[in-house]
Amino acid sequence: MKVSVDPDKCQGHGRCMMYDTEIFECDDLGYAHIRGDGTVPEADREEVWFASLNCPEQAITVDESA
Amino acid sequence: MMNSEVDGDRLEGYDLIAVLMLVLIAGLDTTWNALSSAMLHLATHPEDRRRLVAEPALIPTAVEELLRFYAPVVLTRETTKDVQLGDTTIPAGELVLLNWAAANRDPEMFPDADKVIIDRAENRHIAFGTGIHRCLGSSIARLELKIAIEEWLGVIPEFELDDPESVTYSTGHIWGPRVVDVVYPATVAAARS
Repeated sequence: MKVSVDPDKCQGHGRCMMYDTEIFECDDLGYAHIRGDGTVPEADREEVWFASLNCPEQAITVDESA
Repeated sequence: MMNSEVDGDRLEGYDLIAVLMLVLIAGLDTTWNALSSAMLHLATHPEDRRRLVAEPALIPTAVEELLRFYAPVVLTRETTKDVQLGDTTIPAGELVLLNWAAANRDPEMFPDADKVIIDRAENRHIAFGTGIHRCLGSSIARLELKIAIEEWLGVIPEFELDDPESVTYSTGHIWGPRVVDVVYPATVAAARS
C-alpha cells in the first residue's frame, strides 16, 4: 500500500497530521508531504485511510495495489 | 508579524493594520460561536457528553463533528472568472455567499448528515472553508475547542441547559448561540449543597 499527497491540492489544513505523524509531515508553511517513499507499513494502514478520507481538499491518494 | 517577511516583502502601514484587525476578529467570535454551539450540544445531549467524559480520547473526533454540524462561518468570495454551476453562470466579478454549513450537510458526502454522530470517523467537512483561502487559524481553533471541552468536562461532567428560551443566536456571517446558561442537574446540585 502506498500513499501520496498532491502538493497542488494540499492547503495545509493538517488533518492528516492528526492521524499519523509517522507517515505525514508538514513544511514550515504547514503544507503536508509524505516521509520516505510513501510505502505504508501494516501498522499505519488504518490511520492513513482515515487521513485520506478526512482531507478537506481530497489531496491524499491511497493505492492499495502498490 | 511586524518583522516577518515573505519573499522579501514586509507588511506595512494600513496593510499591517488590516491584517491585524482580521486576525483579531477572525480569531474571536468564530471560535466562541463554535464553542458555545458545542456547549449547547453537550448540555442537551447527555449521551454524547457522558461518552466524551468516559472517552476523552474521542474529543478531537467530536470537535470535527461539532464543527461540521454547527459550522459557524459563512463567507463571501468574489469570482475571478465566469463560473458554470449547474444551469447557472456566475459572471466574473460577482460576490458569492459560500455556505460551508450547507455543504457540511450534503447527504451524498455524509451519511445521516442531519444527525450529530459524535464518533463520526469519516468527516471531510469544510467548516474552515476550502482552497487557498481556507481558515488560517484552523489549527489553533481546533486546539482551543479541544482544550476547552477537555478541561470543562474534566471539572464539570454533569450539566444541563438552564432555560432553552434564554438561548439567543448571533446571526450574519458568524452564526452560533450567543447565550448558553447551564446549571448543575438537580441531583448534582443537591449533593454539592
